Amino acid sequence: MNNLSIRLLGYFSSWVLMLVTLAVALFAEAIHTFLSGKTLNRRGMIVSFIPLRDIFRSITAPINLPENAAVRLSIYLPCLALAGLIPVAASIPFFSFVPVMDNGGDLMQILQFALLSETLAIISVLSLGTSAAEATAKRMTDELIALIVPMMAAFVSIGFYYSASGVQGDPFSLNTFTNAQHMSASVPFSLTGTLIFVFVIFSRIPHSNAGFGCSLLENCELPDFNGAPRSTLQLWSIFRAFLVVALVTHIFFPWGFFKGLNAGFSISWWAQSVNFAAFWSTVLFIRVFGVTVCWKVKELLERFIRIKNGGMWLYIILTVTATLLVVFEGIRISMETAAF
Amino acid sequence: MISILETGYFIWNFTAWIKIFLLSAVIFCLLIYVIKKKTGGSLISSKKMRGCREDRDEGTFEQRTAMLRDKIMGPWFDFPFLHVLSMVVLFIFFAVALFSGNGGE
Repeated sequence: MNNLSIRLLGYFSSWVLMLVTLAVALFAEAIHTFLSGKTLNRRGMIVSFIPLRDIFRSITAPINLPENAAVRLSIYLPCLALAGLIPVAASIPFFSFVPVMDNGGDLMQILQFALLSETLAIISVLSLGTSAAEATAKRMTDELIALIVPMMAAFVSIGFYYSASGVQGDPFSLNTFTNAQHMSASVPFSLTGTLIFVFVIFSRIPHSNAGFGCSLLENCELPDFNGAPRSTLQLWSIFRAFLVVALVTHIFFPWGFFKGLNAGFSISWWAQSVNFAAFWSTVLFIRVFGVTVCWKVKELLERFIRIKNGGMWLYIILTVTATLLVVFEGIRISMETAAF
Repeated sequence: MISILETGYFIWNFTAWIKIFLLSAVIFCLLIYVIKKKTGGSLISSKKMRGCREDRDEGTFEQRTAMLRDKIMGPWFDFPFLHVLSMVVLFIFFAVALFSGNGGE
């Protein structure tokens, strides 16, 4: 009994530590809103600097739902959607010093839980039962497809690359991706393909428009849905964007450099700490600046394409091109290996 | 009991996933339940709201959270060496998690 309670206490501590890392997402969001607000103010647009404060304030506001809402679903499904993100966070290496589970970060499992979380969030919006909520749910579904398809294409093609190049172990594991062989200058097709994937995924992250952060709902959207469930959905959106950035950063992070650096440390905990700090600083930097750059490039590209649904066609073409490039590199390497 | 799905390289420690999902779901739902209890609000249409208590003091929960902010969080933030103390607290969590043999399934 005593042993069980100690284990439970330990499990809970690991969970709390994970939430602390997840709080970096709020920090990144605050920095991003502050910077983009300053830029837009300079251009004469008045932007609220306090969306995060508003989210936290509305947690304690009385809950308000539309007339036709399925009450229990609308209140509790946002919590389940948020809870669905926690296993995804737990399977990213370095999310906590003490791993809650040791799965090697299998990408297919991660995507399955991400899909579960997205589905729960969409159903929670649908359960509000208004036409405006239906429109929001449709927008969320479109955004889900636009994000999950390039991510799956990226993971499957890079997994194929590792499988073809004869890597030992699970080719879909994030741990395998830390070899970073697909980002080497000696494999230019794979390198280009991965960079295109990174661009496509980062420019599809935000729920709201560029420059206004990552919150799911704008101030004027679904005004009859208020209180803690609305805040939970907003937080879910911010954490979701942050987890996508962390996952994708894991693909192109220069792990090799840090492995070399770690050789100087005699205590492995120090090496782990350096890796931890370096990885999360990079994720923070990419979330604040990298994602914004991708948004700007996306806007520029969309301006050049003057056909109907130009943006969508651009993403389809880029995703297919990137997949073909990475798969081609895998085939090329396997043929070279066979010839050798 | 640990249920593991295993096909070739693919290993899914199902128990580990479901445990962390359920723990998170229970904690978040409990929080929302407490908030709902304390704040009330017009959950459903005014037609269905007939018979609800109207004498509820809606400001009580806000007052409680304000008290938490002023009496507990405020002094904590004003404390000298706050960053060092926060790190110590996190380290205690870390030590508990590590030495309770909770690393990995």
